[in-house]
Amino acid sequence: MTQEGDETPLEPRLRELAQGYNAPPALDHEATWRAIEARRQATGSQVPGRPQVVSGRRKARGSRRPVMSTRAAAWISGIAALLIIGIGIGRMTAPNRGDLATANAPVPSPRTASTALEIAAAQHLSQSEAYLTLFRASVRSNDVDSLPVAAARQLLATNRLLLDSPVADARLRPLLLDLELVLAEITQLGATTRPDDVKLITDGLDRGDVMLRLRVAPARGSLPNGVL
Amino acid sequence: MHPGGEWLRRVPRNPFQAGCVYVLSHGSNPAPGSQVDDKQLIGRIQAGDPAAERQFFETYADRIHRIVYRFVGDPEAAQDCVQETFIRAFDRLGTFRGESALGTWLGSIAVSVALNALRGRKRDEKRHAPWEAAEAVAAPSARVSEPDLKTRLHAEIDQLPEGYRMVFLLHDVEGYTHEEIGTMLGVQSGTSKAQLFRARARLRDRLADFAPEVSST
Repeated sequence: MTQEGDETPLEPRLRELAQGYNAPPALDHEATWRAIEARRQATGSQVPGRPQVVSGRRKARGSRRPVMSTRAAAWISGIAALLIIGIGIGRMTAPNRGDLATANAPVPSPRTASTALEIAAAQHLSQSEAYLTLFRASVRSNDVDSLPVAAARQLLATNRLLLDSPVADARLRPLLLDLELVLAEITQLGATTRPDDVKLITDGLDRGDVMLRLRVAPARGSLPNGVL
Repeated sequence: MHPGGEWLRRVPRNPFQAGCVYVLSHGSNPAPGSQVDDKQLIGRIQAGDPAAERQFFETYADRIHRIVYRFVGDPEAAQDCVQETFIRAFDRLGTFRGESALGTWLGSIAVSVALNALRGRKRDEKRHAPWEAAEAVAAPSARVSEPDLKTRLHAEIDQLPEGYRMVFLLHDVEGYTHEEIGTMLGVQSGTSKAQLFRARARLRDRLADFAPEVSST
């Protein structure tokens, strides 16, 4: 093993020239910190060991931190699980499946299945509204690159499941179709996002009144208090 | 000394860990002469103090940026690596046991993040390699000019095996000790020394054409 003391130091000329190898420019601290905060918000990252009472602090920062992000991961997982259960129940109770259903299996009532799907749809719409609010905020702060695209993919997957479910009736289907388009466009945003791409999405949101329709969607109005 | 103008001196004052109080003799972040007590800082971050989080970032951002930039050599990739490093650090701060200095612990995360970024980029480069090779064959005139020592040195550093290159950059360019490098790379300090010896030997060998210029100063 070579001992440090035995090493021939690098020649001064080489050392000097090596300093120019991938010489780092100055770091933009403010932009970097903003990006870190946005990404931590998006992923719900929290320092281990930190007491939950810090929510007061987050509340104080409310104007800078979108509400959606703090619960994004839990919500998305919850929606996915709920959807799977809801769609499973829906399919079990769907007509023309008599040959597949076992006579002794406990079958939930159609009303139970319908409620589960409505809850899943309502949560999806609420989540989508929060995400799109975050998207708009990112556009305004010119910080779209820090947007959690993975969350858009999850929402898109949920949206497609809902489109295939009985809950996508004549009233809700058009909204889900518009939402699918917007979410699909957001998932295509990458590191080399062009302003035109972002403008296309925001124009699509405005033209279709997607945000307004999300807020007044029928699936959200039919739920009992406290579901969302 | 860190060649970017930042002297980092450890002051054995904090019982949390020998040498875990840093005095930055000069440099932009934090303010010259400021002291950062790692244990206190971690405690404040875990208590939910946003100012402490920002202080943690400001204290180490430039060091981390220097490390990852040396490795990846690309502003956007380096920026991503810095972000990822701090995000991971905040996530894992509870696992920091003070067995190394906080800066070194953070450096180990940065090295891991930068390595992942480099490996991802190499995968991309491999996909494009046939086209680049074809272009080189099609336009041999582009290679007629003889590179100078600086160009050759940088090209040779690029060609070093990953382990050699990392140790060389951390030690001879960024000025870290073998102990710090060992912690960052997860190897023994002796391994770091051996890698550095081989890296230097390889560079000298490859740059033998320039021997008079190398030894002239």
